[in-house]
Amino acid sequence: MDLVDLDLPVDPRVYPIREDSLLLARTAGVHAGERVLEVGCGSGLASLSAARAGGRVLATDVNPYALRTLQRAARQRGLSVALARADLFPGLRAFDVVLFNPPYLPSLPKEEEGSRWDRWALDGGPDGHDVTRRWLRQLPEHLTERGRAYLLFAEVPPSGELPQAFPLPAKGLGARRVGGPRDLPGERLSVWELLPGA
Amino acid sequence: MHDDLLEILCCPLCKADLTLKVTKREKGEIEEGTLTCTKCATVFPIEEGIPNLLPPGERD
Repeated sequence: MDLVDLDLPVDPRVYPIREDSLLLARTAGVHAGERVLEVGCGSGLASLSAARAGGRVLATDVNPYALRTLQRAARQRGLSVALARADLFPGLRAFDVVLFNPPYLPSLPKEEEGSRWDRWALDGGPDGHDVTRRWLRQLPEHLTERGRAYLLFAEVPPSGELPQAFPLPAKGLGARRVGGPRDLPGERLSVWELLPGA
Repeated sequence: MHDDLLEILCCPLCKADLTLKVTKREKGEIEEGTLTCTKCATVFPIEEGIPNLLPPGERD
């Protein structure tokens, strides 16, 4: 998708736009009229870009400040993005496109972990993939027949090899890499398209 | 929120349909109100246009 401008409002309690946000928003394919869900929207770059592409977008987050920030940004740009406070999928039905940039960093020791906002945005459990696994388990029943999902996947630290196949078990889902790999200090980012029934 | 958002929401606890009650509307948009589960009767608030679908007890 083409990106909306990057001059989005900043709130220290909200995950800012970073390379991972840009890679997901650029790589995800959304067609006009499709029902789109962005799970864990943060600053909402992907949601705004999907809305501008003509998608009917619902953005969710557990962080209410992320939702308020995105609400202001959408209004300022005349874009329509529906919002709901939710933790992954409970409370939501099925969508044509689901976008997710999960918290993917391995948990920090107790004494080093930041605010609850930081933990929600960053903490992916012991190996960094706990939230992604939970999302993958719930995903299939939240895709329509023509549904697909775009997932930002991060290797922290990079394994040193290009990911050839989706490295997490994704039961009943076919996966292919559509974005990246993009190497950053200490992490390698890629975007995966997931299709049911493969 | 728009009224048609209701089509893609359900109760996060039991997945049943939700009933909408609007207490404040601005320019056609729902600003304040509630969503109530038709099965388990749990109430989910809508505040400043945003429904909160977190279970009671996890909303702080």
